[in-house]
Parts: sequence; C-alpha cells; structure tokens
Amino acid sequence: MKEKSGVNPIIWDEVDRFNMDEVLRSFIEKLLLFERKHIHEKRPRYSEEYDRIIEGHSREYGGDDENENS
Amino acid sequence: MRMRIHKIELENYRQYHGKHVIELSVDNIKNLNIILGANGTGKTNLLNAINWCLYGDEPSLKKTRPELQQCVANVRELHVNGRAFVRVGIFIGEENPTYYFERAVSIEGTPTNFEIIRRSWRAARRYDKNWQTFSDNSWDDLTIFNILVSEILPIEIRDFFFFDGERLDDFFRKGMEHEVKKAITKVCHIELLDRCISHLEDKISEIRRKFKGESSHLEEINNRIEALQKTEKELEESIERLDKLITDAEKNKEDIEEQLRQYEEANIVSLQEERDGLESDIEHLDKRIERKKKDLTDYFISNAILIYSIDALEYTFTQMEKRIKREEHPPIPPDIKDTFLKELLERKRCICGAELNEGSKERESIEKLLNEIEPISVISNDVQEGYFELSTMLRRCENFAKILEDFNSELEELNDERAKKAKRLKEISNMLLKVPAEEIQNLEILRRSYEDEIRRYIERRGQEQLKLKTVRERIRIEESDLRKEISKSKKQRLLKLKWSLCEDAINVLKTIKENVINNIRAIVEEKTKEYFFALHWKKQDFSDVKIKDNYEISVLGQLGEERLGTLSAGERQILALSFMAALSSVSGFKAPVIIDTPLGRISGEPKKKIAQSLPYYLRDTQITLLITDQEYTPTVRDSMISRIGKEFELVYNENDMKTEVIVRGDAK
Repeated sequence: MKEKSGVNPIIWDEVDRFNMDEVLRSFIEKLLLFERKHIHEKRPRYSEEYDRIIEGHSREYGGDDENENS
Repeated sequence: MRMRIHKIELENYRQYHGKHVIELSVDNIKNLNIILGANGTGKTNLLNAINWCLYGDEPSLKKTRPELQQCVANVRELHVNGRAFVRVGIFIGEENPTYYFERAVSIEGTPTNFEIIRRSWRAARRYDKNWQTFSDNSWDDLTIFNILVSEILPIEIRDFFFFDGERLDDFFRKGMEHEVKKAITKVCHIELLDRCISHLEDKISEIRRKFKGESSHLEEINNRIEALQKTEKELEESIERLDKLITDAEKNKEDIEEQLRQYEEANIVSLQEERDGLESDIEHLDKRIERKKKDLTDYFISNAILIYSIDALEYTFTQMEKRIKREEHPPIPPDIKDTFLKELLERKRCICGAELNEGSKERESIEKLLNEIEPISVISNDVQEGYFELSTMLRRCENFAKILEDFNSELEELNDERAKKAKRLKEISNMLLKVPAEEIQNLEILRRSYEDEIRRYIERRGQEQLKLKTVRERIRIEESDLRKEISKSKKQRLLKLKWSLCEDAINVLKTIKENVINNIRAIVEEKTKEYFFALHWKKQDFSDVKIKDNYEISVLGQLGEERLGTLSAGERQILALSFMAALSSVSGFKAPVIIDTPLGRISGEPKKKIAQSLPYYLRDTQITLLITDQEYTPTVRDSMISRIGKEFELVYNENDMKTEVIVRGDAK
C-alpha cells in the first residue's frame, strides 16, 4: 500500500526504522501521503487538512483524548 | 512489476503524417525495443512526442532549437490543408494497459506563422475492468492528468528515464556537483520531506501567534522570532540564488574552457608545431637539393668533354682494337718487352737453356734483337695503355646517361617531397591565419571574469551562511525562551501539544531527510559502480567509483589516481548511463526507460559489450532504444538479439515529407 502511494520506498524504510513515538510516526506518514497527493500543486490548500491531521494526532500525542481547553 | 509503454499513437505529430500506431514489446525477458532510423527520420521526435503527451513539453528542443517548440504539427499537413489536427496517445501499464494519456491540438496557419485554435486532453485509469476517463477541451486545468502521470513518472525525475545518450556526460562536467545533488535529491523524493517541514513550520508560527494574548513578554518574543524567521528566509533565498549563480558561472567558465581547449588542441598548438616541423624539413630539403644540383653540375663538367668527343673516341678505339687484333694493317707491333731480353742477358742464359756468355754468337743475336725492338716496345706499350684508357673513357660515357638519370630522379623525388611539404605549409598558414586571435583573447578575458565572479559569489555565500547560522542560533534561543514562558502558563494545553507534535515531527523529518539523502547517495554510488564495472570493457583499469560528500563523482584508477578527467567520451557515456540506471533504480518508480542515441559515442568492441550488458543490468525494465544504423551494427544486434522484443524502422520519405514506421517483425 505504501509503495503504491508513490513515495520513494527508501523514505518509508527510514520512517519505519526511526525510533519514535507511534503517534508521531502515524502523524508523519499521514503528512507524507498528503504531500504526495498534492505534489503537483505549487501551493496546495494544505492548511485545513494539516489542521485536521494535527488536531487528530495531538490529543493522542498528549497521552489522553481529553479536550482540556483550546 | 514495472510499468511499460504498450502502445503509442501518433497523428500528424511533426514527421509523422497521418495516423501511426507503435505497439511496443512488453515482454519480461525480451525487454528491449529497437527503433532504428537514420538522422532526421524522427527518432528524437518520437521521444519528444512522448514527453509532449505526458508533460506538455519537448525537452530536447528546449535545449537545442527552442524556435522549433510549439509548432508540433506535420509540415505537409499544414501546407496542404492550412490546418492540422495533432494527437499523441500513450497506453501504459504492467501486463495490460491501465493508464491512457492523450494530448491534442488543432493548429492553423503555416509552420512559421500558426495559431493553436484548440487544445484538449484525455486521461484514463483502469480499475479492475472499468476505465475511468477524464478529459477537457482546454489545458487550463490539468490537475487530474498530472496526478495520473505522476503516479507513473513525475516530471521532476523523468530525465532519469527518458534521456539523450549523447548529452549524458553533462552530469560529469566540472561544477556539476550541484546537478548531481539535485538529481539525487529529486529521486529521493526529498521535496516531500521539505514540503512537510515547511508546512509544519508555518503551522508552528500560527500556533505561536495564538499565544500572543497570554502576556506582553510572550508577544515580544514572538515578534522577535518572526522578524528573525523573516531574515532567515531571506538569507536562505539569497544563498540559494548564490548557489545558482555559482553553478551558472561554473558552467559558463567550463564552456569557455572547452572552446579554448578546442583552439589549443585542434588548431593552435598542433598546427604551430606542424608548421615549425614543416619549415625545418623544407629548409633541410632545400639544402639537399642544392647539394645534389652541385654534384650534378660537377659530374657533368668533368664528363662533358668525353661526351662531346665520343665519336672520335669510339673511332680511335675501334681502329686500335682492329689493329691489336691484327684485323687491319698496319697492325700494332707485338708486345715483346725489352725488359725480358735484358733479363736474359743479365742471367746469361736463354730460355732454351743456351749459354749467353760475353762475345757469344747467341748473345750478340739477342743484343741485336734488343736494339731493334726497343723503340717498337715503347710504341706498343703506349698503344696498349691508350687502348685501355679509351676503353675506360667509353665505359664512363656509357654510364653517363644512367648516372644523369639517377641524379635527375633523386632531384625529382626531393622536389616532390618539398612541394608536398610546401603545400601543407601553405594550408596550415592559411588555417592559422583564420584562427581568431582576438576571439581567443576575448574568451580568455571572459574566462577570468567568470573566475572572479565565482570567487566573489563564494565569498558572499560564505558571509550569508555565517549570518544564517547566527540567525538560526538566535531563533533557537528565542524559541527556548518562548517555550519556558509558555510552560509557565497553565492554559492552552492542547495548543502546547500541537506545537510539541509539530516541532518533534520537524526534527524527525529533518533527520530522516539527512538519512535518506545519505542512504540514497550510498546506494547510487554502489549501483553506479556496479553498472560501470559491468558495462566497461576495460574494468581492470579502474578500482572504484565514488560519489563524495560534496556530490562530486570520482572514478579511481588502479593506483587510486583520479581518472574522471581522462575518461574518453565513450567511457564518460558509460559512467553517465550507469549513474542514470542507478538513479532510476532507486527512484521508487518502475517506469520504462527510453534512450535516444545510446551508443553514439561508443565504438567497436565496447559497443558490443554495452549492447550485451545494458538489457541485462536494466532487467525487468522495458528499454526502448532510439538508435541510428551506425550504432546498430550487425555485431550490436547479435549481442542483444536474445533481449530484443520488437524492432521498428523509421523511414523518412522526402517527397511526401513524412516518416513511415515499419515493423521489422519480432526479432528472432
């Protein structure tokens, strides 16, 4: 599936091998897939999508899913 | 599984008048397609057609004849109808076609004065058995088309799959380290990592701004960071500009050095040396000719008198001979030597044994004879001597013509040699007269100015890099202060988490980027070396191929000496082919490879070796070679026959101004 995404497999190998938090890994993978999808666009409308991905992962990254404040 | 081009459809594209369909071999083992054609039959334009269809441009014309870009229509069609519909369609897929791309234009006018009146595109993707088709009658929005093309081969890396064999060694010219780095960066997909990092940095700036309301101190730090980041960006852009300027100046300098080398190597030095040699040879020949003429004159003078008297000499000789032989009277008296009689008298004994004592009768007889023959003996002696002398003189006369002939022929040879050398000297002098001394001087001035420019740019880049380092350090300190301030705040926990997530992701991505670049450099180095040694015909001359930290390519000889600068054009092409093959193999894209003029610079045995090895080392890859008949010799064909899937021949008909694609049949 990763190969078919069109990202150089060497990048995936590095991402898989890198010792990091699994939430962070999943976050990075999502960003890479998003960027791959929009690579042909000079200025992709990334902001909203990024907000969504950041939002989704930052709660998990904090170790809980409680929305304290924002 | 590798992507392959299944079919190319051409309609009125440049030489290809009317409709043409080229169905390539997609066989796994017979992975080679040969498209053979003489110069001008449309080989390069076939590659242009593929590029035009997939990417909307024609890279080979961009570099060589930019004026030919845009008017892709067949000239004959335009002449006859005043308009032309041009279309290129390509079917791509693994075992079966799963992608279709088509680009078309309608053109009106003449080849030099034309107007594109309509553009259209079509792209289709097959999912299971169904094709999903997209199309539009304008090229304004090609988003879907580009997405589908980039699934097969993104434009950024197509140069490593579709390339001109004769232009390959541009990669290894001086100052091209930047290009090598760019190539490696492109195939690494580093752009993806850079875009992630850049967008995350934007997000962090947004998040930071949300903290502004917390305290005035936070706001001050934020403002400082933003100002520093602005400077950081400006400095980065400035360094990038300087990098580009340095690369351009190095390329220009290299071009000028190449021109100067041509003058030095081909014209000035060797011609001057040859001229000096010829002048010295001619001087030497002149001396020999003079000497020979003098010898001839001396010989002639010393023998001329004989020649003028030859009739008299011959007459005298004949007369003497007749008389000596007693064939005519009076004969020459017998040659009775008086010395013989004198000796008998001294010995007092005759040859008959009789005593010749004083007063004896026998003695008196001999004394009388002696008195009679003494004057005759002198005459006879003189005649004999004269006879031999005359014989020698007549022999000299006989040889005179032969010797004169020898003299003349030697002189003729010397004069011929001199004339040849004088002719060449004149040619060289004329050539040297044409060498533009002023142009060489101007080129040298230009070369030095580029050298100064490069030095100045490097100096400025160094200063900017130092400033950038300082600014980044200040940003790091400010951000650390900011973090401390924010950590004091009990609020905005989620915002802090977001910041932390983005910041950690940036750090990880930066490390990954570094690792990927280093890994890919190491893999490309290893594969380039592997291919180079496999393809090279004199591998024992080399010990290693390296891609250094600064992306400089190095080829080492057996003693560890640098050999890159001394590689022949053919060897450089092998290196470039190896580098390209390495890059395409690590690109992550399994696209087909098309090489225009793959063996153009390679001759003889090496050509055979490459022909044998290339399809094997690019196995599992569909390779299409656009090849001339000079390249595609029977030996080359025999060497790759087991890998050839299909052979086509392009034949250009000058009268009809069109190319025909002839299938030569499946290679057996």
